[in-house]
Amino acid sequence: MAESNAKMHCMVASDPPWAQMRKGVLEFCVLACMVAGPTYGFEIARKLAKHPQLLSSEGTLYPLLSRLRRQGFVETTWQESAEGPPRRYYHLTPPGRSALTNFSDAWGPFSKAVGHVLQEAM
Amino acid sequence: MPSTPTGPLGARQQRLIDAYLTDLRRCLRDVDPRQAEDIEESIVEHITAAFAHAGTPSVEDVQAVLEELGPVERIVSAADTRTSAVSDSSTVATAPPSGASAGAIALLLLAVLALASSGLWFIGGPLGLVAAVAGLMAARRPGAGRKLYAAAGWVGLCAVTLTVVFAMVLTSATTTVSPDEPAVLTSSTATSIPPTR
Repeated sequence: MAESNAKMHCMVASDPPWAQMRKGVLEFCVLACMVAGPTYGFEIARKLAKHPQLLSSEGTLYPLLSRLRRQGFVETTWQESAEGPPRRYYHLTPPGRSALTNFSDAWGPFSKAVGHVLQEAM
Repeated sequence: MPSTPTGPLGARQQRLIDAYLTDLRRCLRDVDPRQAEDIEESIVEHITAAFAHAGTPSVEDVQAVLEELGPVERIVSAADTRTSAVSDSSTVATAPPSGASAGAIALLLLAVLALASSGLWFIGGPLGLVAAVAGLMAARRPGAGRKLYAAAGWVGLCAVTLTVVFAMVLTSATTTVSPDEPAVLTSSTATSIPPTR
């Protein structure tokens, strides 16, 4: 009972309206940040945080990165940093790249369809 | 447990970070321990990276970084409840990590080897013990290959038990040799050995 209450206390009461939409695309935006090459968490967070619709709290990136790693879509390596302790760099694996390509192919027609429907309705 | 960023931080700044990480750990109690550790380490790395160029960050700088990270409840909520579109849309995502299964199979082979060599206590005992402890501990954690790990653990345990039994039989079968008396085996199957001159 006490554990259940603690868990409830740790839950967030409400999310913004676009939270559901974000769940479907954020993973792929994170994968897209690695296309140019390996990058570290802080860099990804700062890039995505420019778009609050995608990432309102930078900390929520890390459970997602952990999951992507467990799923085999990204791998990590430690690299020395001139500015402090070694950093964990994330890079795309072949399955991760393939998933991103599939999403990218589907995203164009999908967003176009939504745009058409909204345009006709409004 | 990851350490908090060490650098040119003032006492108040360090207290703010420590309090944030303490709250995070508290909220991560219900998350899978490996994932919780991963998340905590990543947050520490993020804070360290945020101050890499800042020289000595002020209290306001620290507060700003922690606010941008967001409430710890929101971070933990992302670990607990966010469904992964990647795993829903890709068959690759549902496949268990091959590394975990390979590890479980290797441990099972080790346990079988321990069982096969349980007559040799100095080989079967240590190998069986390693397989039993590692297998049963890994089987308690969620993830791929849990059944294999459990099997390896139990086979390892059997190997240890058999090794102990063999060792006890061998110990009870040791001979007591006296210069004037014939050596007599002390086990129930003992036979008299004529004295040697």
